[in-house]
Parts: sequence; structure tokens; C-alpha cells
Amino acid sequence: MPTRLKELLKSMASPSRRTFRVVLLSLGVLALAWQHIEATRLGYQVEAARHRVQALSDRLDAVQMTLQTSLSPAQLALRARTRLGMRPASPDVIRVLGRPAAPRPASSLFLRWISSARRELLALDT
Amino acid sequence: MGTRSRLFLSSALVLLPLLPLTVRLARLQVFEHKSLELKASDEFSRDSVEVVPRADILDRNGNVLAQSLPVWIAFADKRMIRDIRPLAGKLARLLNLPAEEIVRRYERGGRRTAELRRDLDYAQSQALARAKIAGIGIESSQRRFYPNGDLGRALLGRVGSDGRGISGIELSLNSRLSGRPRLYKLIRDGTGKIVARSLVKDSPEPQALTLTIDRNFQFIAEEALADAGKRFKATRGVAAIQDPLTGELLALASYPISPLNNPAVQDVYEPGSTFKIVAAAAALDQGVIDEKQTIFCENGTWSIAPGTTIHDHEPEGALTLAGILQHSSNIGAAKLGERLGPERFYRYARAFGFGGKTGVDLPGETAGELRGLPQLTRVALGASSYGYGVAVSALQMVDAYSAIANGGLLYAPKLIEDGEPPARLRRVASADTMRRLSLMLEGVVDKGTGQSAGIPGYRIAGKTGTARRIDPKTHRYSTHQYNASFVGFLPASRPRWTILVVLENPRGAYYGAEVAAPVFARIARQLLVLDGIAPDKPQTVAAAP
Repeated sequence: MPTRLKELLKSMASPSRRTFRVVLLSLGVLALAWQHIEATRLGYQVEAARHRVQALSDRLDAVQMTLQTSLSPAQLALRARTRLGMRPASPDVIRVLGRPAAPRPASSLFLRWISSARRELLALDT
Repeated sequence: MGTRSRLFLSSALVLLPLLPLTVRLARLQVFEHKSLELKASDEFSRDSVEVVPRADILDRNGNVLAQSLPVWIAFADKRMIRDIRPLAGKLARLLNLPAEEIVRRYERGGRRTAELRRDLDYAQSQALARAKIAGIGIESSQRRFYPNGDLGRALLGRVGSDGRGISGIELSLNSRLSGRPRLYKLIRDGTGKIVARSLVKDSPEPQALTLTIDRNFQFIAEEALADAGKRFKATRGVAAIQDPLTGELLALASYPISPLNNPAVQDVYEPGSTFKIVAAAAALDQGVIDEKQTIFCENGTWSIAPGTTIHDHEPEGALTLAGILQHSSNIGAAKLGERLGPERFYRYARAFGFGGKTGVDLPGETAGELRGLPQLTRVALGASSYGYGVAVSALQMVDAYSAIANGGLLYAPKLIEDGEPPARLRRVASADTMRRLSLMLEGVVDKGTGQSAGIPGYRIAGKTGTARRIDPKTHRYSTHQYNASFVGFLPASRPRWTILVVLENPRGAYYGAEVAAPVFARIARQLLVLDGIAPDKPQTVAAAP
């Protein structure tokens, strides 16, 4: 055994060193116990947090489901028709932007005359 | 006695009683170590299985069509609870059920356990767990929700109580949609409270499944079909919308809606005149007829063979191919089939996809029925040319019309949005043939039997179909039961949608032009507005008021 180690063991065998050793050991035991208790306490906390997450996630799912149901075409159509009095649009409402729509053929002779006169005036303008 | 002997004796007297203890200790520590360790471990730890939710099903725009949510099942252990009546009041408050219902469910349950409620939410399950009622257990499960109600249910199908798909996409893609369970190890304290939880076996959540279906299109198709189904008291109906350029199915509606049956793929019908496109396309492609040549339609009555007469619904003289389609002449189609011969007719019918499965991702798909070459006698060929003696599915028919719309390419109908390019199956006929046929089908809507499918300002190509149904009692063609159908595509100048409408056994009216074509027009009108498609017949556009 090396001389220095022998001296260390000898010095520790003294009464003051022995007390220090006991205190150190006790502190170690206390630390272990504290660690165990703290781990258990944190375990409970984690589990409680997990329950809260689960509960919130459950509520979120329910809210999302309600939202999806409310946005379903059948629900939207029903509300649009009954509450807002809307009706399905006809393709006649479609206008191509940047391209003027062709004029509706005039129904009467007078209107047709007015319409052709207007076209001629427009042609003169350009 | 020497000191040594006394020392040995006293040691023996002290140690001898410890011998049984040592033996016992050795037995516990060495021989029964493993089993006892397991037993001790079971006291404080327990395996817990968590149900991984089934994958969501989304439409092409990411809207939820089906979603799984966790639920909890409350059950009673009948070995521990012999009589539930004393507990019924307390359980009624916790389970939000009448006490009598709880007693009824307990009595109706199995021999060992009885399910009291299977759709508890998390808060309810926790309240029940906190109540600590001996003999009442809670089990986690999942429930499938369809937020759009019955929308697309024939397509989506249904999930059984065990969480497995039993019909529709839920069945055909069950393994893709199902989640595998996750296994946890729980460490509990003396009171049973969980102290720690560690994941033993992980399982990833399955990715959401995106369909090519458009939720809005599906609604439009279902609503229009249901209205017509009710108005004409039809026994069944199908409406389908397909993108002719990719084969993607945008809507697949059925009437009445049942999550257990999808008539669009599982059922067949005799198509009648909508099948005339086969003879027409084959004749054009093979040069058997051109736009100017005519066929004499025998003024409405033609005896094709002794004892077999074909009738047209209106007497017609000589008709061009466009005329045959516009007036829906059976005699003209039969004569066209005769000119083609059975081999060419059969080849083109198969090329259009009739008589074979389309391969769509839905269960129970039918291949339909197409007479083979040996069975194509003169009479059978004539009948097949105008759509009798053949049985097709709605999916086959819409796919065939899409081939005309896109210039001759047959695509496999696509239902799952998987990022893969469209599956092109084959070229049915040349692009020029299909362009000419498409113009003739436009004539059907502009001047022929399909005028009620027309929408002012838009070029629409399509064909009506009215076919007698076989009477199940007499096994002969009925004189009062029909299938009414219309199939077409629009805008014909640059097709975006192929739409099919079939109504079985309508009452009051039965012609495809009266029953199915207006439904086609109603669907088409709404699609045009929804997607803001500009008119492709500019000369008929009305001026803004």
C-alpha cells in the first residue's frame, strides 16, 4: 500500500475525522432520501400535468369537431338558406374580367335601334 | 470440556436456530428470486396499453371527413357486483344516464362484464375513476366521428365497435388507417397513484389519408341526387364527378345513403343509350362511318332476326352518326354494331374499360358484365350496341366518358391523393376520333335528347340513357320500370368535369332526358359557379343588368 494512502487512512481514523465521516455519510443518505422523495413528488406533478394535457386535448378535439360540423356544407347551406335567405347562384353571374360581356340582344325594334345607334356612337368614339 | 469445545457449543447453540432462517433466505433469494421479483414488481408497476387513434380522412382541400377521438368505456365486473340496483343512482349521475338504463344495460351485458357506457369523455372518465366504485372499471377506446354527417358515407364506410373498418374506405384501407397500440410501464405507489410512466413500445400515429374527393362537390352531387330521388321516388341513384384529365374522383354520391353499400362501384345497371358511345367511337376510329354518311333507321321498327324486333322511341329515316346519337336511335346503333362486327365492337368495349374492374380503392368492386366474343351473336351484338345485354358500374361509365373528354386516354379512377401521377391505362381511340365524337355529343345537348342538360353560355357534351329494367318476378324486361341516366362533360371546349347521374326505377317520368339530365344540369351549374368557370359560348352570354 502506498505510504500516502496509509497516512490518509490513519488521519481519518482520528476522532474528528470519524465524526466528519459519519456526518458525510448521513448527508449522503439524506440526499438520497430527498432525491427519492423529490422524484416521487415530481412524478405526481408530471402525472397531474399529463391529466390536464389530456383534458385540454379532449376539449380541443371536441371544439374542433364542433367547428368542422358547423363548417360542413350541409350546415352552411341550411343556415345560408334559412337564416340569410340565400339561394344558389346561377352561372349567368360569372363575368370574365378584362373581357367585356356581349350585349343582350334587344327585345323590341325600338330597343334594337337604340342599341345599334349606341354601338355606332361608340365606334365613332374609338 | 476445554475452552475451545465450550466456544464451539455456545456458537452452535446461537447459530443453530438461525439455520432454518438461512435456508429460507437462500430459497427466497436464490431459488425463487425471479418469480418473487416479478410478483413484487407487479405490485408497484403495471403495463398500460394506449390506443393510438385511427388516421383522419381528409378531402382534397384538407377538410376532415372522418376523425377518431379518444373515448372511455365504463363497464361493470359482474363477479364483483352481483346486483347493480344499489349503485344505479350514483352511477346515473356519473355516467349521465337514467338509473333504469344502467340496470337494463347491466342485465343485457355478458356473463362476466357489462358495458354501461362506451362514449365517456375524459372529464367523465376521471370523475368515475375518482369515485372508486368497486367493480366498476374504465377502459380507453376510440370513436369514429364523421363531422359532415352522412356526407360521403357510402364512400367512407363504417368502423365496427372493435375499431376496424367494415365497409367503404374504412375497410379497403383499414391497415393504412389503423394505429398500433403503445405500451407503457406504470410505476405506482402504495395507494395505486401513478408515480412514473415509461414508454416500452412506441408506435407512430398513422398519417392522415387525403382523398381526391372535394367536400363541396360531394355535397352538391348528394343534394341534387337526393332531391331528384325523392321527387321521382327512385329506388336508388348514383352521381359521380370525375376530373377527366387525371381520373381523380371529385364526388361519388349515392341515394339513399348507406355506409354499408356503395352502388357506384358495387352495383351494375343496364346502361341503355349512354353505351352507344362504344359503337360510335369504334365506327369513327375504324373508318366504318364518317360524319356525312347515313344509316337508314327503318322508320322506327326493324326485325334484326326472326322473332326479334328493335324499336326506336320515334320513327326515324336516314340518320348520320350525329343524328343517331341526337335522336338516340337504337336501330341506328344496332346497324352500326353490325357494320363493326363482334370483334371490333368487343375490343373497343374492353378498351373503354367495360367488363373489367377499374381498380379503385373501394371494396367489392364489380367488373360488370360484357358478353364475350362467342356470345356476341347478331342479336346480342345489336342489343349491346345500344346498351342492352350489358351491365356496367357507374364508375366504369364515368371513366369511359372521361376518355372521350380528354381526347382518348383511359385513366384509372383515382380516389387517394398520394402524390403519384395519374395512372394512364391505355389509349382507347385516336384524339381526332374523340374530338369528332365529342362534337356529336355536344349536338345531343344542343339539339337532341339531352337539351335539359344544357346551360346557357356553356358547351356541354353528353348522352341520355333510358333502359328498361328486368322485372325480378317475370325475369323479362319490364314495361314500367326503367333506369334513367345522363353522362356528360363540360365545358366541352376544355373539359374539367365528367358528370354521371343514374336513377333507378323513377316514378312519374322515366326518360333520362326528363329525370337524369336536369340533375346533371343542376350539379354542373353549381360547379361552374363554385369554380368561377367562364362561359365558353361567348355569343350567348347575357349582358350584366
